[in-house]
Amino acid sequence: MRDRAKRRKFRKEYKPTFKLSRIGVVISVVALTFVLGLLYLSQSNQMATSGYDIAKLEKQQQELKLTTERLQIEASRLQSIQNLDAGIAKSGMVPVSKINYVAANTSVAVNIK
Amino acid sequence: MRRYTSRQIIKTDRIPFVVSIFIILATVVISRLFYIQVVDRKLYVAQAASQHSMKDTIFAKRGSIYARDTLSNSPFLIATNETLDLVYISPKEVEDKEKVITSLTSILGVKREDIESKWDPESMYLVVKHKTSKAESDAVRALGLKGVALQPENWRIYPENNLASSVLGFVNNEGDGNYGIEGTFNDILKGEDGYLNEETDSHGIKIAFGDNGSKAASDGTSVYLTIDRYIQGMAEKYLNDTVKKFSADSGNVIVMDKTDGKILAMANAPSFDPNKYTEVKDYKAFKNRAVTDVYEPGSVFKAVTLAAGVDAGKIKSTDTYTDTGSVVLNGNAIKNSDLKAHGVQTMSYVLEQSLNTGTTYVEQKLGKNLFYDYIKKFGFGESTGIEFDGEATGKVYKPDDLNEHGYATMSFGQSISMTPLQMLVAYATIANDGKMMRPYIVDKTVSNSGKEKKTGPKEVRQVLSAAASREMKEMLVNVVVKGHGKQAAVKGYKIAGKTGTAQVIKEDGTGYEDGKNIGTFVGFPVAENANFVVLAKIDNPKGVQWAESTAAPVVGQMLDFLLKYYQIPPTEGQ
Repeated sequence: MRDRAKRRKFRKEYKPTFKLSRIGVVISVVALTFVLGLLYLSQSNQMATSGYDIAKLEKQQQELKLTTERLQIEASRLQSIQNLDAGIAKSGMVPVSKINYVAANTSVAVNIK
Repeated sequence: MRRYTSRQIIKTDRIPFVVSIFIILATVVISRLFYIQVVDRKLYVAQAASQHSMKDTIFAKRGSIYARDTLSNSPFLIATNETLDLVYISPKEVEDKEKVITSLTSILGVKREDIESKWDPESMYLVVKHKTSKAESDAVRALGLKGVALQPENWRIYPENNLASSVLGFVNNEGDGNYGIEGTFNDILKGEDGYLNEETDSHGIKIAFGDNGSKAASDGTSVYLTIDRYIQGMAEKYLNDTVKKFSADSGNVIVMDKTDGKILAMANAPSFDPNKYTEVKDYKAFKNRAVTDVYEPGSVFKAVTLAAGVDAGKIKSTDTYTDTGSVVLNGNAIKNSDLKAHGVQTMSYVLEQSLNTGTTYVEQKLGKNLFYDYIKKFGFGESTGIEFDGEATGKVYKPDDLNEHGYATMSFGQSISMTPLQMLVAYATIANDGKMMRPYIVDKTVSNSGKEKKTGPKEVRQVLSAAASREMKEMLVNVVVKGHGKQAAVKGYKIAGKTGTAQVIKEDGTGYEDGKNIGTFVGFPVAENANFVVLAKIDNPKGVQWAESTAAPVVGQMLDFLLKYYQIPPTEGQ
């Protein structure tokens, strides 16, 4: 009980004092400014790096778009009527002369291997 | 040590002098600052902006054009854009001229003289070659020569070359469409350019979160045609073969779906390659003459006259008249093309043998006013509504504009003018149970955001009754079986059609050209699911007189192909 009273009295009487001198204030401000500055620089650097990454990805995207465009056009050219005609002539195929139409209700047996 | 009093320290003339100098210098600096930051502010702001910002136009990509591919049921690209490099030299920056010229001539295949003749040592820009291939561009880039550079350029290309060229038109160097679909739909195909306005660092690279004020380009809308590329290809092949065979001046083939009005093929001869439009000497090759040019069709128009007579209840196919070989109206004689008198003949025979006196008889029974009404009902003298600029409407005289003789000549396709498409639409109407469908060639448009706008079929009007249509089909079948249309026949099928061999009006309009003619044939199968109608027109063939030898075989070939293409089984015993 006496100890408790002593501790209560100590807490009341003891007021932590924090005294900072002028130099201390200046140093604290400078240090804080330095830390904030570092944080800002780090952020800016990250954003700048992202900018370069974005630019690089955009360039890649553009190149891929160009490649896609080129391939689509190449596919169209290969499938063009002129090209098909040349291929047909080369393979010796001839136009259809007669088509035999089979009635739908005819029984047809198919041998599958 | 000597000590100075404060009076001695202060008492000197130099301090005010130095202070004055500083004041003067400060005044100069402040004035200069004022001048730069206030008076010349705008200039320096602009200079700073140009150093750390990038401004450029973002060119919109032009929309593509597609044809149909019925077999794969997918659209097929027939007009699109390709980015190809331009190789140019900055002679002022070139260090080794000989090396540059030798390397470029060997890689690009250009002539040495072409470069040397344009070489100006002070110039910064000398074009060597446009549209280089990827292999050529890569090879030039790999050289790494100072003063040699590549610049990407956007080009309009047509992978199918001549296919449907008169339907497509072309795009000129300014990026504008001319003629055809490229011209008519230029505004939506072109899109809207954007701009780039970005902050950059000292290397010119964009700052990701800088002050950017760009507007994206809005790419053009793509156009999907109703044209089937295989049908178009075959139409052009048969047409070109015939024009070449008879050394004709020109020709057309049109294929239309009678049930919905879709144009499946529209061929013109001569045609051109839109990739090389600058090489075309005669601008008429650019025109889609199937819709822009009118002509007097001749006997192919007789089906319209007889259809009017049947529908109006004035005649039946089995009705007869007496052909004396000549009908005189207003002191002018109308005679048959064979100059013969055929005696008592049926209306069906009139069509089979293409008798001018027979159609005059029908026109007289209708009377001018009723005949004129039917001509207008069939759409002659007005636009069909097809999506092409410059569509001609033709000329139809009103009853009061011509005397009896003049109106009688209209019954066999003279004194009246029309486009080949208008003639085809009239026959499609007869084939479609008398129902006229508006012809169209654009199936849909799709914007860059994916928004679709479909055209869809449109019924114009019911021109004939279904019964009149049936009767006309039977008469037209007889033309092919017994008359002048035999060369359009396809074994195993009932083919209906009519020939027309028309004279050509003189340029000054004072009569007809000697020895010149235009042969037309329009035909269609009478079979279930065979919905196509075909017109062929051959202009001024040499060494042959009648359309049954020029236009009819083309239609026969097309119908044979189409019946196989759409897998329509035969309806008649073979």
